Amino acid sequence: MLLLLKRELRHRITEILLGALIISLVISVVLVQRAISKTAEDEVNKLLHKIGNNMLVVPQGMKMSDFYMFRFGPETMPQDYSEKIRSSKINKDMGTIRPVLYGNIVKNGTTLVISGEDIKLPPRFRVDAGVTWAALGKKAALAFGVLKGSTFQIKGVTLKVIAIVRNRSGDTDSSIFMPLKAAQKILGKPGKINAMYIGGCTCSTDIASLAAEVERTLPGVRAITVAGTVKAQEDSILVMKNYSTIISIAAIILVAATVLVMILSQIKRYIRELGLLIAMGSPLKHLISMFLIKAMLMGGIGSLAGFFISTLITNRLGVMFLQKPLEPDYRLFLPILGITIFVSILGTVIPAYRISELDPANTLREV
Amino acid sequence: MIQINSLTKCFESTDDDEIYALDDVNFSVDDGEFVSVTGPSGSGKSTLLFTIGGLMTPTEGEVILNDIDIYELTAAERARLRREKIGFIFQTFNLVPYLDCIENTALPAIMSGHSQKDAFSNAEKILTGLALGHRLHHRPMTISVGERQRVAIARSLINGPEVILADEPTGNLDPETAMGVMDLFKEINSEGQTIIMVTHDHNLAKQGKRMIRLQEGEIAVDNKIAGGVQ
Repeated sequence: MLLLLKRELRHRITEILLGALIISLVISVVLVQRAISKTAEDEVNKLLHKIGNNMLVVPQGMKMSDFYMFRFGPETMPQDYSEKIRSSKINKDMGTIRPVLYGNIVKNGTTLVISGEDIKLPPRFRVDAGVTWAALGKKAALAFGVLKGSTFQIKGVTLKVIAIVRNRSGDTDSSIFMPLKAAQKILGKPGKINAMYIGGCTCSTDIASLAAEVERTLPGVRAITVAGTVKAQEDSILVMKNYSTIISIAAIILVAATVLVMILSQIKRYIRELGLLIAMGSPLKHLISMFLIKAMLMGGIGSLAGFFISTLITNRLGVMFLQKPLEPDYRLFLPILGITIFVSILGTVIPAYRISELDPANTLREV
Repeated sequence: MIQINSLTKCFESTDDDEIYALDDVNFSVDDGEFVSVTGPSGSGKSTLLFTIGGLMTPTEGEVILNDIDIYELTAAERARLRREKIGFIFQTFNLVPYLDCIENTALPAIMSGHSQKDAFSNAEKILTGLALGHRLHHRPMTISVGERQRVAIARSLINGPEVILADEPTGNLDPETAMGVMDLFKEINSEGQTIIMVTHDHNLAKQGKRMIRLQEGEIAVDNKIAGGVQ
């Protein structure tokens, strides 16, 4: 029966590939959705890790989705807001206060992030008087073509590279860290900041009340507590996860339906051949196996192609919307391959039953 | 030898009536016979053929092939019997369109477990014997209808069956080609092959050694034909 199977596959390759294409699109939707959902979850976890129980103060007009994607607009607030907090009555509830000015520049087609903040450098990073330090992420260093120890200029400010920052998550790859004043000069925002991290809010009052107090003390700002941010994002992630589950279930049903429809349509169109084979004494298990193999091939090729397509899509989507390439969760490869093939086999249950119930006499008598 | 005992096949119609396609049919076919089954449309000719071929379970009665009641066998055993002991030929040829002539012919042998090489070699011999040596690798759609029917005959012969069951084998052929096919049947029969052929064409039916005429599911006439196959 191998001969028949080989010829069948060759004859029906277009149908099998069409089925596989439908399955691959379904799988790629699941994988893309999961990649996006996982990235969002990771971002929230990073946020949690970054600001913990602390508070982020930003100018009121700032879009937080842009902020977390490192896209910064013209919104600023006075640098002396940090002093204003220090001298206010709520200072007793505050730990560290870090005023930062972020901004974007484009170098050789790469969008980079300037992060200006006054940091007390360890002695080994000290630079000579009159020279401004800078620490660059990998991508930023590549864009400027600099190494550790190099000096380079941005808008008339001379900077010396004291370190190339390597970070496993890749978050800081596009960043250029430098003193606040240098960042203000480069971004043309003297005396301004657009973020203030307030740490150690382990006060007796609750964090929400403290945030309200900060907003009252500093006009035109928004105080974002991690609880509120994470809650909002966790809610979104929960919704995405629910969608993900619904999409996965729908995908399983779609894969099974695709296989079912394709195989049933083949049986309907080639019923005379099946009747003939049964009349000639072909064992039913051979005929059913042929359809099973076709279904498994459809599922197998579909899931492989699905991974390929989802890799392309997630990469493009990541670059388009998050400025970094995403990739599907490759750990899902074997489970998805297994589930798809299993579901494809399930999809042949009804066709197999139809074959076993086929009356060859009737099919062969129809002219 | 084939023994048909009290064979009855009843179909239920939509208005719960029962239609007897075969009604208590009895006859036997000796080895090497060439039996033509004839009769008007709806007389039960094809039903009889399919029932003898193990493709249609009778309502009552038995079909005994070499002392085995084929409807006492399991479906799998009956499939094996069809594979090895019965050759089918149909009016519409029923060749697999994506297999070429040699593959179509070799298919039953491959299904019976013969190696592809042996099956192809045997198929080539039979096809060459039927003057189709030049069509071995042609697909059914690229050859004439007469040639298609000869391929179907070759396929029915490949496993050396005990009986060939032919259902209107000349129904789709022009008179000249039909006579060619009948000559082929007579030649195969002269070598000792049992043939049971259903036809509505009285003249073609007379080409066999014996003619059974069915009328409303019953045998109306069962005659040896004088001057039939020699």
